[in-house]
Amino acid sequence: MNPTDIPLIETRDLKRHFTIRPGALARLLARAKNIVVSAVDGVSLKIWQGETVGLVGESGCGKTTLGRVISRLDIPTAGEIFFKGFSLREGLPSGGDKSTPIERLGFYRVAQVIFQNPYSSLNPRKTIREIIATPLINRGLKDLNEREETIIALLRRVGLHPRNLDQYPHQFSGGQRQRIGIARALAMQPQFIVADEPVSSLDVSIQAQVINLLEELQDEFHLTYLFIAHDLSLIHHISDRVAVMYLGRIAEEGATDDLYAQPLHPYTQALLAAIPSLDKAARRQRIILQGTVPSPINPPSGCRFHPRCFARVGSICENETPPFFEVGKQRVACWKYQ
Amino acid sequence: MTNTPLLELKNLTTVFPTRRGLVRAVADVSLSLAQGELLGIVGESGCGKSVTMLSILRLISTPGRIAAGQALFQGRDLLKLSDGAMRQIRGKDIAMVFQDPLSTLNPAFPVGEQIRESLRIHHIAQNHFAREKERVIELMSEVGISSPTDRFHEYPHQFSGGMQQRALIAIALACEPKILLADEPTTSLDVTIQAQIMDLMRRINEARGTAIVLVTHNLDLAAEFCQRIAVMYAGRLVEIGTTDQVIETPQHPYTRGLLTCIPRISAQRTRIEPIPGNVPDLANVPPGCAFAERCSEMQPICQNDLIPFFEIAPGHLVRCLRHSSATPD
Repeated sequence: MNPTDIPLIETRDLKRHFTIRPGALARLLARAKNIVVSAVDGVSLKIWQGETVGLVGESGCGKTTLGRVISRLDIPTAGEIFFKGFSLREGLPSGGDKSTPIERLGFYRVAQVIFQNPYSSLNPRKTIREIIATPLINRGLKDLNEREETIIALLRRVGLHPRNLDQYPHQFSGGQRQRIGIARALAMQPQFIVADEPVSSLDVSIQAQVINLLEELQDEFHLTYLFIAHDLSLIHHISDRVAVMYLGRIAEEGATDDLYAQPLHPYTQALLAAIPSLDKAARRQRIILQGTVPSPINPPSGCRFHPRCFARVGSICENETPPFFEVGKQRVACWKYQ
Repeated sequence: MTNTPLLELKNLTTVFPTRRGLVRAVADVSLSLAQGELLGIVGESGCGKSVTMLSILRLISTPGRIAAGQALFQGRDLLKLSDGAMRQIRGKDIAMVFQDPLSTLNPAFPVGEQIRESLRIHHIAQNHFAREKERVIELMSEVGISSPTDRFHEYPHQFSGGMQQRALIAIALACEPKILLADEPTTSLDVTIQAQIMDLMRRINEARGTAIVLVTHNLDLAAEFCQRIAVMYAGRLVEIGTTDQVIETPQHPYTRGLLTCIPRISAQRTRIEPIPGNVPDLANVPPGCAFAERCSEMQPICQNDLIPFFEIAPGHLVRCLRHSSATPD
């Protein structure tokens, strides 16, 4: 990982806003206006070849939306995504999608997604063979025998037996389904995988099996992961670098060991302090945050964390959006480090 | 814990007849809870921990039934009480906080009314509306709901997840119960909110001496909150002991598996050790040790007969034949 190289994936000031149009009656009677939810609001992130970037945050912070936009399942409202320095699309007008299907397919060949819910992300009417064959066909694998062999090899690689080929998703347990989802993503021979909470719906004893599988596959196929999770221990285990998200923005970013050893942003500090710990000696000073994550419909001004923050510097926190300050190798969006 | 326990389960067994056969969701569970104690019940989904809680309150719906055992509350067997007598205890002496607050609260009634309901049912404020409302507002501010006078009239959907969970805790606390059964109270919440709720429950325990049973799949959470921990697997208890005994010297291979299969934040990153295989089908639990198939230390005798508890230290019981040199309990 050489920092002078071009990152595999880079986002610049990426935004995804959703517009909620009130119903006709509400518009007529209450003069309700369109509501804009800024789910992702200016995220700049670099992901280098071969590394795992952990994206962590509480529910509603926009981490899933960011994953969807980076994997091009969703279109950004503003900002750009670069793949190996090549812009996926320039000058993106809001709303419309101008990229041609071929270009999109092109990106799908290098970027795949593993979804959170293995129950809803597999088509219940398709057999496992059909589910895994679809990306192979799209990849251009026309020869039937070769395709069958590839499917069997993929199934074996993720720890399933080829006798399961003609079964349907409902015949599998959650952990097995997640393995099928992983096989489907691998079938495209991607370079980059967005794993969106891949184990959060699984039981603890099964989670470890899937995490170990993901780590083995990364070494074997030289994959780059964007690993989205709310579980800080899991993120610590799997990531090389971590980005902490709060209300659509990245609050802090840095190498995993640095960030966990010395969290800089008050939000990161509070998040880490909130994890229950077995080790009595290592229990950090408990910081119990007041209140909940505000709504992204009307996010707080300035630093979005300021209403819950226990380390405010002054009125600057309420009035101005903090830029990233470099502290050591970490980047932190907090006025404290000005 | 010298005097009689507040709640004592003796060989509690709850079954559900299904097409695939009889599912023994809770099999032969014996547990005791002392006054003011914090007890954790830990296990994966389907291990019977929630059904144990529901059985104590006799909330098992047909065709499920409590097939055997006793649940002694202050010496009285809850399972033998009349329905009317049980209603006197449920919600008043033993209250429960459920996992998913949004589906537990009634969407059609204001939150304040729902808290008031338990006061009304148990005649706490002589059915005097103003006094009841005053008490509800007290309760709401006690559990940390801000501006309770205004929020009394709000509906569940106007509350955030953490606030809904606080409202449920307020309902449970309304009659000052002696026992609070908390079934995964923070599973649907974010970590920072989880910390708030656990802090609230700890303060309730300290201020009122309410005994709390925390049901969770998160061993770390139980370790931080509870004084004693019981580990369940496939409907049975496999290990019970004080938190230090269970966490620092776990004796059952399943408990050890649970401890090593979760990644932990430490300086050196070790490979996590998954527990191989899957939880057995509860309609078809193998004889002998239910964990035997997944156990790395399995011996042929493990699969023969039901394994009894062995007491390996005072108060530390484990259902594993590796300790058969210890005296069976």
